[in-house]
Amino acid sequence: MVDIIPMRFYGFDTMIYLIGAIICLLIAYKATKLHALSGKRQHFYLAAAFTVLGIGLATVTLTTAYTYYNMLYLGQTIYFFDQFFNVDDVGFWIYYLSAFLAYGLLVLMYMPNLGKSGAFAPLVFFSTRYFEYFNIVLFFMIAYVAFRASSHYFMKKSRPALLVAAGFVLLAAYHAIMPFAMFSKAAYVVAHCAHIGGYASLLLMLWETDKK
Amino acid sequence: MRFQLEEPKEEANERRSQLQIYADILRLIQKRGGLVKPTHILYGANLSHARLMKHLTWLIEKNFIMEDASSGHRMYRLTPKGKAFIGEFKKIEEFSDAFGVPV
Repeated sequence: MVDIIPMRFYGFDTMIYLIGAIICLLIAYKATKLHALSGKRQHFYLAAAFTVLGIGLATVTLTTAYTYYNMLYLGQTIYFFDQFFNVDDVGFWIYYLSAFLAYGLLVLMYMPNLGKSGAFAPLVFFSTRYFEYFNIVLFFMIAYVAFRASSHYFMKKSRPALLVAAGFVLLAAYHAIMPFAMFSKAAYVVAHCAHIGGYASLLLMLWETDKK
Repeated sequence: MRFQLEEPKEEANERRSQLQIYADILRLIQKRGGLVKPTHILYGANLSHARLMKHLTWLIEKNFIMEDASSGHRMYRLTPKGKAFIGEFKKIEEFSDAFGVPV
């Protein structure tokens, strides 16, 4: 993973994952309170999705920070499994799996009548080419969620709904652009700008709904 | 793959969720100065007697309202916790609606 990252961007992506993790866990906290009151399954899916996503982002924050520290200050790379995976790879595996689960739960939230297997039907390729495959699969899942959120905004025309729709659209953009990071380091930076933009939009929604 | 947009329609007889009913009852009590007779809630919240008593029992258990018989009649008083819930409900309703999930 480190090969596709521009050197000057080292550490900034870690910060973005950390900020994303905090925002996801804040949303999860609010959604958990909501579910405690309503008992609705859709609210459970919302709370569970952002909890899982927050944990995944927190994990990749730690692994990227650890990788950068070892690489830049100690001049070494830490490997697992007989030098097949490094710490960075393990972190991203965990993040992508958590995102897969989280987006599946969000799909279920918008389509509660869909069988649980339907939400997780997109095939997941377990291979060393996890980077491209996961991003493509995740793009389709979050794109559906973004479509539903955007449809809701066009019906409601409320600012919080717009912020949620914008947040999911930007997260979809992140997953759409990331596969191109293999060819251009600029794509990696642009993708992460979309990533932080998505979480910033969701944070703004939290602030808007909390101040009223 | 067929999908339906499951958005609630704005109709006068739209089915309310349990949480919305609790909020409506508490707002009704607040509008009437924080102390109200059961019959006022019955007509104001548009509920049957059996359902109203079930909801009032829940609200008393959660300490959102309390029974007040000091005037010689059974009345219900809004508690500070109930007042706080009214404010919080608006926020959580907005939050839930932002994601397109009705409360």
